Amino acid sequence: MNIEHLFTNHPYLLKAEKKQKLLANLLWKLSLQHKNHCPPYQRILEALPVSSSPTDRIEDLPMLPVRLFKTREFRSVPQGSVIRILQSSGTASQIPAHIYIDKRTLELAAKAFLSVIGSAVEKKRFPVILVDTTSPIQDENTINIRNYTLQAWKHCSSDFLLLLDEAMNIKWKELDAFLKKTGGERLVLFGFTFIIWQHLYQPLVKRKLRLNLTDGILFHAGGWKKIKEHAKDSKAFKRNLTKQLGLKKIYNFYGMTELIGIAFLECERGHLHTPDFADIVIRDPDSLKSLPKGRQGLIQVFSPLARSFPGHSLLTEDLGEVLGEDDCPCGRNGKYFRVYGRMSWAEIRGCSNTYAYQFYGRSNSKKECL
Amino acid sequence: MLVKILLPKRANREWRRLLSQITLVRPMKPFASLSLAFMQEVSKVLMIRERSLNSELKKLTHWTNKAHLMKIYQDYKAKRQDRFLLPRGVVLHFTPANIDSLFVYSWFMSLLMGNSNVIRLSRNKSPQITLLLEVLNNVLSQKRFRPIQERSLIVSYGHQQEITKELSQRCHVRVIWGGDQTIREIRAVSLPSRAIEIVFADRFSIAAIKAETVLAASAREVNKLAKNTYHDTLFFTQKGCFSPKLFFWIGKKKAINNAKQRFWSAIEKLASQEEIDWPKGIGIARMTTGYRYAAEGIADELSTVSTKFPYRIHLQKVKKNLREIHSGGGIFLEAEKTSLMAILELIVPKDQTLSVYGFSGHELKRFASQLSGYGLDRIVPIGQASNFQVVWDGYDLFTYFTREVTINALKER
Repeated sequence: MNIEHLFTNHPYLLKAEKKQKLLANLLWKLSLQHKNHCPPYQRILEALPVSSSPTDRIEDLPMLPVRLFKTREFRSVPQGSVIRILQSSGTASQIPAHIYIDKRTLELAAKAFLSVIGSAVEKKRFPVILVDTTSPIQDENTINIRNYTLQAWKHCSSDFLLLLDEAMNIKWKELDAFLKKTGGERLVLFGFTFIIWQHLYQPLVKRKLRLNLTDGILFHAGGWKKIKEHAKDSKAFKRNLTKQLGLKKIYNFYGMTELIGIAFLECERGHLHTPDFADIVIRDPDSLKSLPKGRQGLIQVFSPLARSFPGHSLLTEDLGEVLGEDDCPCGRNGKYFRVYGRMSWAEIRGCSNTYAYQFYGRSNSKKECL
Repeated sequence: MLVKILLPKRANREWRRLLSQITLVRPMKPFASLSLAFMQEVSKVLMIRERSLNSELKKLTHWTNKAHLMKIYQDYKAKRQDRFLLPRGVVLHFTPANIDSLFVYSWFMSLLMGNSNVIRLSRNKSPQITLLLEVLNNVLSQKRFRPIQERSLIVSYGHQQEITKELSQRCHVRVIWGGDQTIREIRAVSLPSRAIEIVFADRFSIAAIKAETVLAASAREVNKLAKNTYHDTLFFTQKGCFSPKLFFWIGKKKAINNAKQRFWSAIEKLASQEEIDWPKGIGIARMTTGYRYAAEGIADELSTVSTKFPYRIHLQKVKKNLREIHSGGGIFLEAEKTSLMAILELIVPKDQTLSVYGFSGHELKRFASQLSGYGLDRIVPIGQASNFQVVWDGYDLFTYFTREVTINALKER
């Protein structure tokens, strides 16, 4: 079964039993592929006391904690096949993760992304306003997740506008021209949550300007932490943006660097949905046992798109909860869930800070001994 | 700039004034009877609250009791002979957040040498530290201990180099209890020209177990060994620099396999009985560390797919950099050698404590005699790794806290 068959106009058709079997099978094959081509991954599997075997359940598959990608290179294709090294975002002293991408993985990621976004926009190509700015290209091959995401959106667009200048101010003239040019067409806006709030919403309010993008859809990602104080909550965020932009639909989505191409879109009921070609399992943070719906725990993500690096079964550090499967009132099949944010680590005390340092770098850790 | 005064607890005193007072008042004498009385009183008061003490604080109670103080006094006198040893003056201590009682040891060691003391404590206070401060403040409030109260100051503050600067300018000795990063930060703050500095940098500790002895031991002895191991490692969630993280099994293959069986069964049994308070997220931490060792080709076998304690990692190679990867939290690295001497070449200067079980005194002496050029500052029986000693990390603290005055004119008429 070719994974690309799942990149449909409405990738929420598969029900639990069929989806599990299909994904488990694909992911098992992928595990073998990574085992044979990624020596460090192979060493990990071989060191485990129990070897994994083909299974119908995704939760039986071996998994990697996402942190491992910060510690060394994990690559399943020859060096020459790597066309991009994706770097996760990190604060100044936080060690970023590096994800090695080849052409095939990039292709699949683009198609998968378009499938999810396309299903929400109900079109395959559309004009996009990217609420962000270009950032200087540091390295031809290394790209950070922010730029990568913007590129993914450009790829879906029939025409696009990068809304902000280098100082993060709205390019008003260009916006005006773009709106005139695309007038009548369904418009899509994308931005990271805090950028939309700070650099689109606030300037509009200041200018006492309201846009009338009645047929428009806004997509945003990036979490609520940074704007919690200002926007108060997602409902207020939606309400205010709708008022200021005239939009009818606002979609939040959850994704991560290591899961390129997979966007877990929020449905009309406010639930995040797994598309047909991805899934999640919730695990207890200490025993790592899988948990049933309604229980909060660490989110493990599954993606058959990771061909060039062993990122097909990953244990994240985000806390979440499965709300249900195949029965969301919005009509989409598959698991739907909620994300609560990063797991906070207990105080790390130690004479030496190697523990915190290797995971957090300096700024995030409790300063050692002080 | 918020500086909190934790000791002495007196109303309406600004820390700068207290600091000035300490630097102006004359230091006490080494092993002053008042200092001894103070420590014994602390020991007594702690003993009254025995039930609320963990084993770490119980050890402190014994260290400060009359019998032990007399013993170290005797050792000191034997070392001193008829030399003139005087306090250096004001000692400034930066103590770590991971070992609750350490600030008391550091303070008392220095006080025994007659010094006045200023201590900076971490802002994160455990219940044990709160208890200790309470007891210390109570005892210090007794009238007879006024002289000691006037020569002691414990503060806590955030990351403000300016305050570290002010404190450092008034001291004669600066003691930094780790780690490497903290040392770098504090060293950036200069000291007065005649002041000296003692640093306790990041260390790593190991253990060596003789398989034969484990096999010959009774069940009771094996359980005791397990309890001792538990105490030195898990009790501090393996964060103490003295906590063994790498275990060398010494002997022949078959004996080692059987010994491991006995040992780990005893540990597992103990773990199920004790309630270990693991930090949040320890599961992922263990798994990431174990997987990392495997990915790097250092480990060839992990004891669990998941996170189950005890998390054992079998080493294929004993690489030098494995020390930096270890994250504590109940992870045991294991390797095998046919003799104790074989581990010599694997020891690096960063290694501090070797905890042992099952070797004769002769074997250990032979081993220690060959340590020049390698690391290790101490060899102790498993279970005593956390016992604070006057000589720590290779420093004879009594010597460092003292200045010697030599008089060559004594014979003149």
